[in-house]
Parts: sequence; structure tokens; C-alpha cells
Amino acid sequence: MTLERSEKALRVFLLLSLTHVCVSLFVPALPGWKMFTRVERFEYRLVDGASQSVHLEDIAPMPHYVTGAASLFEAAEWLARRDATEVGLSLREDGRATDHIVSPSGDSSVCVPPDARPLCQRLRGAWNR
Amino acid sequence: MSLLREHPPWHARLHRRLFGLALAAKALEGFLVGRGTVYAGEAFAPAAFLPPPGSAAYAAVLGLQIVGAIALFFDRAPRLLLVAAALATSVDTFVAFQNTRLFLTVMLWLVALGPAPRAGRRIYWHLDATAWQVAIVYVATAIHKIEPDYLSGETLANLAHIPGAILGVVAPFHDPQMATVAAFLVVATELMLPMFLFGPPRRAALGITIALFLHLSMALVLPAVWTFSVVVIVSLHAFLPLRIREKEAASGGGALVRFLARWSHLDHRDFDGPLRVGRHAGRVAWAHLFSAIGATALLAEILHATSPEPA
Repeated sequence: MTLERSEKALRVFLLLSLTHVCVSLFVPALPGWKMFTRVERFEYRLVDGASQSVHLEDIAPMPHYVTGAASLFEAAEWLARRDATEVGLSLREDGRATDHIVSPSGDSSVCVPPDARPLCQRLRGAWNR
Repeated sequence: MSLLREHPPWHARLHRRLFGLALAAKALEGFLVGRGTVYAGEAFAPAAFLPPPGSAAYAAVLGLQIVGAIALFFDRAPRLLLVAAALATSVDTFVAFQNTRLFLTVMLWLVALGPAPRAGRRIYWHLDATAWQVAIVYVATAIHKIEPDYLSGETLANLAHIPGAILGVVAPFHDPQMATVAAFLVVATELMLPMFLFGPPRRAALGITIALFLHLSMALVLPAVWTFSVVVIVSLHAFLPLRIREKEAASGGGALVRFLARWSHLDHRDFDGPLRVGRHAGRVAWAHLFSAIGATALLAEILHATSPEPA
């Protein structure tokens, strides 16, 4: 490889890399170098259609950290679609829990006490275990 | 002005071999944690850009990654094997996305497309690209962090509470002042490191030492994202200050130097320079580290003393 071609290859790569960085600054959906830029603090309980507790590590076998509720909703939706049934997701932030029912289509609704839906009742008890 | 720097062939060779080890480790990790179930659609794939391609696709990806990792140990391995491994790793990244995997993929493409080490060759554009990519990632991540939530220390405090992250055990980020100071230090370090790494030889050596310390610590306290740290560490010697290496007189070298030399088919004197630089940088780094800890403690104390008492 000639010196000129090496220089050109390096410059093309730099241009691509810098373009990716600039676009990712303005387009949040694009993967960028946002390592732990935002980390939400919460606890969660995920309950499947059979009222069994599910840990994210059980359904997503890869080393990673959950840094936002969005990925939990994605996981709940995947679980609901897989089992073709609604699943429950409870998020606790600052000691206050909000319970959600996620359907296979990805729609979610919040449990408002006294909510008679079995999953809502199950989620209320999930924190005691 | 040319952006290219000269590198001895052993830079390229060592980089390929260390990268081969990292790639093999990542492939093995995926196999052990059951990544095949993600491909089969039996497990959840976070932020997936591709639908689950099936178990056969996983076998192909795993095989190509292992073959590519082995090929990196041979200077004359066909480039096609490395390109195939890079393609497989790209697929792997988009089946279940993680930033650390994207970083590994970008760096693997550079190794695959860059020239193989050869006696007499001094230009390895992919090593320069690797160095620039590390610098770009540092600056980009620092820019992303310049926002109120991060600089207030809230993000670091929350990070310390993530289950499985040892960070919470070793860092006192429950103290808001300490978390704020640490957040500013993280952003400052990420912005300053490229200036050190691309600086004159002694400053570059200091930058390499700080980066080593930073990434070894990060790999220990956030073990799930070890790939990022390992790939950065593998890439760091692209910054090795060549002028110092060449200026230093050759000495005998220890057992480790002789082992590394044999492993890389090199004269052990090739390692003298970097090791001397490393020893020097180590001494300077310790002094800076203690200064930084002292300054952090002092700043935290000032913030604590000046903050209003809770009602």
C-alpha cells in the first residue's frame, strides 16, 4: 500500500468516525459513544403471564447493566410477545412503585389501585418477596 | 500535513495478537453465557437492529470469530479471514446491540483492513486510525456527559447502585459532593487524555499510564463492560512514543522482555524503550494519582463546608 493510499484510508476513516459522532450528538436513537451518560436509579420486578417472577438476566443472556427503564419495557414486551400474554412490570423509584401491564402488542397500562387485574395484584405483592 | 506516524512492525504484530486474544475471549464469553439463544429467538435481544437470524447463523458467527482470532496470530493469514471475522462481528453487534460491541467491531474492521506486519514496513495506517478512534471516543463521551444530570454526580451515584457493578462498593458516590467532584474529574480526564496521548513522548507516556489505570479500574468495577476497557488497552500502544523508544539505548532486558520478544519474533531490545518509558511514566503517574486524590479530597471538603446545612 503506498503512502498516499494509507493517508487517504486514514482520512476517510476519520471522516466517517467524526460524521458518526456529530450525527449521534443530534440523533439520540443512533448508537453513539454515550457510555453511562445517563443512568436511572430504580428497582424492578417483572412478572410473566403465569405470575412467576422473571429476572432480566434470565431472558437476556449477556453481560450488561440496565441503565434505563426503556430497556425493561422492551424486555417486558418481548416476554409478552413470546408467551402471547400480558406481563407485569413494576418500577420502584425513590421508594415509590408504579405498576404497569404490558401487552404483546407493546401497549402498556398503569395499575391504578384498587385494580382487580390479577397481574396488578401480583405486582403489588412482588416487592414483599 | 500527514496524519501518519511511523510504527515498527512489532507494533502492528503485537496489536494483532492482543486483539486476537480479545476477540477470542469475547466469542468464548458469548458462547458461555448462551448467546446462541438470542440468535434462536429464545432470549431477549436488547436494542436489536436485526431479527434473530437462527442458531446456524450463530454457529457461523462464532466459527468466523474464532478463525479470525487465530488468523490474527499469523502475519501471512489471508485478509479474507479477517474481513469475514469483522463481518461476523458486525452481525453479532446488530443482533443484540451494546456500545462495547460496536467499539470492538470498529476496531476489528481497522485490523482487518490494515496492512499486515512486514519487516521494513513502517506505515500502518490502521494503527493511527485506532489511536484517533480512541481519542474520538474519549472526546465524544465527554461531550455527551456535559449535561446537568451527569455533572451533578447523579449519574455516577446511580451507576454505583446498579446491581452487579462493583463500583458502588469501592466508590463513595453516595456522598453527593464526592459524586459531583468525581463527575467533573471523569469529564476532565476524558477531554484531557487525547491531548496527553498525542503529545510529546513523555506526555504521551503519562497519558498511556493514566489510560491504563483508568481502564483497568473500569474493567474491575464494571466487569460486564470489560470489552471496552480491554480493546482500549490493546489499542494504547498505537500511541507509544516512538522517538523515545528509538533514542533509548538497548539494555539486556528481563525475563518478561525476553519472553515477549520470543513470542513476537523480535529482538528483545525492541522492548527496552517502551519499558523504560513505562517505568518513568509509572513513577510520574503515581505522583499525579496521589495529587489527584488529595485535590479531590480537598475540593470535596470545601464543597461540604460551603454547602448549606439541611433544615
